[in-house]
Order: sequence, then structure tokens, then C-alpha cells
Amino acid sequence: MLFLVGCSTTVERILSAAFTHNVSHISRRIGRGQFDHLLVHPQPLWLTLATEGFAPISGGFALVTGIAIMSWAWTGLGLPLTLAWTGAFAVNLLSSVCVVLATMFLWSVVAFWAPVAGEEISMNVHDALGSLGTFPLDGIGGAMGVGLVTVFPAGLVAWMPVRALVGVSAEPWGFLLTP
Amino acid sequence: MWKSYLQRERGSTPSEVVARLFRPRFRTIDALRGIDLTIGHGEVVALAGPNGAGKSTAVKLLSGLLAPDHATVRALGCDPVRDRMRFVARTGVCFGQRTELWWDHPVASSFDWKRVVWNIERQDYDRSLAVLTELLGLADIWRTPARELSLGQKMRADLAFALLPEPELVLLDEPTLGLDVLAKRQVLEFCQAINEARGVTIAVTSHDLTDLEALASRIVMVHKGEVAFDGPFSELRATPGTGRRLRIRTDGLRPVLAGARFLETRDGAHEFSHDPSVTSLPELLAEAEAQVAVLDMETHRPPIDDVIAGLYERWRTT
Repeated sequence: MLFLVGCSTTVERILSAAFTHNVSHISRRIGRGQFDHLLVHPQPLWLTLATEGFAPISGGFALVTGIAIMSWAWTGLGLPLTLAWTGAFAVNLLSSVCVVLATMFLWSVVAFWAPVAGEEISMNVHDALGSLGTFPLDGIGGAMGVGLVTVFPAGLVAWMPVRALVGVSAEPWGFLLTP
Repeated sequence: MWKSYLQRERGSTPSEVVARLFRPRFRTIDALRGIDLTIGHGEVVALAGPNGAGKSTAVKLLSGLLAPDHATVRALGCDPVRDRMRFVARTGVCFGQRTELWWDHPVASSFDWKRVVWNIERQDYDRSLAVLTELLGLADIWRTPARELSLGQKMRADLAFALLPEPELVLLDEPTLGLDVLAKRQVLEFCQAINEARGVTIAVTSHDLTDLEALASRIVMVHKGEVAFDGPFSELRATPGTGRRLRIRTDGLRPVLAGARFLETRDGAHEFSHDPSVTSLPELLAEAEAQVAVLDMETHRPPIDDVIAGLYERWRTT
């Protein structure tokens, strides 16, 4: 549980540190008609999007908290410190960040149709993924369970990768699911 | 310049809303319909027009944020869309309704960021910043986060932000929106100063045409995506129907003047609009004195806002 909390906190904080300034909350920019304003800077658009939200200092402290919780849990669980495990862990962590970001971006297109109503939709998606992603979803089965790892992938934020990484998952290949 | 948008039409009933998810219906909005515009180097041009006339679209096309449907836009010898990075490096764009400052950071951080991203030499940055700080009074707000700035302060900071790289072309979209009289004057005086000092070309849209009249040498009126007027303000004032104003203070009674249109009575003075080419001032005064005792009179040209409001009204009804 502690590892799960630490993992979801870290995912959250990587997002805060690397995709702040409405880069992740792109529905705000779409809704306010500010998306094209990224073009007023003399640099490629991809570079603007990739670097604009990078704020390692302001988002850094919370990131340290997440890593500390994870390290504590990791010590308690007696998990192996092998290159393979560390690699799988890093890939899963980054994949989880991509899953959250991609889900926020996907839902943000609503703002093209409903600029005012959809302006904050990325925030709502972010909050929902953040809240659900912290909890173990083991008790949820059926369509709801499938939905939480597909349509609304809260299970991919931390629950499913953590299960695989700590060896709780019945599927040995489970650590590949999130990536 | 031609620019059309496709606008999705929403259904008015729940069944229509659902049906249009699968069968969307669009309507074409012609924002600009063949605007042909040349702005000379060092010129200050005001773009005016009623809401939805196409002013902001024109600014976006000039700044490279939008590509025209079919037309050639050339500015500073570049195609603003194809040569975007080269073009924007020499252009300052400021949108009154949207800040380019980093919202949660002090103003200073935004400027530092711009220095790095825009690759501005340290000495050029210091020189430009010193001028901007003095002319726009940035010292007081330098360490304040953008989100805590008032509208006027934000506008001044945004304008300085756009002008930091000392651009050759400045495009301002509603830079005085929501500003108080003092802030408005500061912004406009600053534009005048950089135009006079460095020959910066400025295209500005605004609804505050009284202020713009002092700044711009030329006004381009856009109406329904087309240029309805292009020339100096003096020429606009000479447009038939704009006339002059006559204020007469009487002993209380309002004269009925056949050659003038009554506008309002305020503080005991009656104001009329008349066309001097049709009815001369002495004729009007003689007509008034024949009816009432005229205690005082003054004549003046109508405010430019009134001239333009009259034009808008005429366009609306034709």
C-alpha cells in the first residue's frame, strides 16, 4: 500500500515538475483560445511544448516526498535492487506519467467543442486519476475494472504497475501492461 | 487577405444535439473577405471596426498565428507563416485580452525567460529593459507574480514583454482594453515614443479611437471582413453625415432648428448636430435667436467615437 501511495505521488509530482504552466492542462489554453499563442516565440512548437512546463525546483520538493515514501516502502518490502527491476520500475513510472498526460490531453479536446464548459476538463480528469490512482483497485471487477485500465486508466497510474513490480500480480508479464 | 472559419452548429433540442454528434453541421464564417492592405515602414495604423468585423483575425494573419485561405501576407520581407521563427524574432505581438506572462511567477522571471528563449544579448537586454522600466513604470511590479497584477499593470508588463527584443514591427490587439485613463495614456504615449525614437511600425486595434487619433496617422476601418475606409482621421471626419456640433445655452427653451438635428440637453445647454456644407453656422444662430434668447454658444467637431458610431449605425442599417 505504501509503495502504491509513493508511486502515485511520484507520478503526480513528475507531472507537476515537468508539465506545469498549463502544458498538462491544455484544455485551458484551448478553451481560452491561447493555444496559437505558443507560436509567437521564435522556437519550434515541439520545443516550446517540451520545455515550457519544466519547473524542477517548484515541483521538486513534493517529488522528493514521493521518492522518500517509495524508498521506505521498498526497504520494508525487501525488493531486489537489480538492473532489470530498476529498469522495469523506471519504465513503468515514466509510462504512468505518459498515461496521465495522454488521458488529460485526450479529454482536453472537448474544449474545442465547448470552450467554456470544457476549459477545466483536464483538471477534472487529473483530479480523478490522481484520487483513484492512489487506491488499490483489487476489489473492482467486471466492466468497471476493465474500464479503469482502459477507458479511464486510473489502474495504470500506480496500481497495476505496482502489483507487478512487487510480485503480487499473478501475471509475470504484468509490468509490461502500463508501458 | 481572405480568411474563413468553419463553425459547428449546435442543436437546439437534446435529440438534435445527439444527432449532430454523428452528422455535424457547419456554417462558414467569412472573417476577412479580400482585405488589401499595405503598411509603410515607421507608420502607425489603427485598425478599427465593430465587434466581429475581422480586426483580430487581421492581426493574427499579420503575426503569423493564422494562415490566410488564399492571399499573400508579407511583413518585414517574410512570409509570417512559412518564416515564422525568423519573422516573430523581429516582431512584437501583444493581445490585450491574453497575457503572455508566466502566470504564477514574478514579472522578472518572464523577462529572464524571454531573454534566454529569444537569445537576446545581455547588454541589449539590459539596455532595452532600462528603457521599458522607465517608460512603463515596471519597477514597482518587477517582483510581483503576474496573477497579482491589476489589469493596467498587467497590460504595461505585457507590452514591455512584447517590446523587450526591440522589434521592428509591433502588432497590438486591444492594448487599452479595460485600462483606466492614466494607464491608457501611458501605453499610448509609450507607443508614440518608440515610433518616434526608433521608427517602429505599429498596427493597433482598439475601441478607444479618441486616444488612437492622437497616436495613429492612419485609420483602416474594417466592416464585415472588408476595408470600408482607409485614410487619415481627418478624412474620416470629413465623411458626409459626420457634421459638426453646436451647443447653445438659452434661457431654458429649446429652439427648433430646421437645419440641424437635436441631440441632447445637458446642464441647460442644447446640443445639435449639423452639416456645415448644408446649413452654415450664422444661419443656425439666426434661426435660434429668432426663437429664444441665446446666452452662450460653442461649436466643436464631434468626438471620433461618435463619428465612428454613426458609421457603424449606417453600416448596420444598410
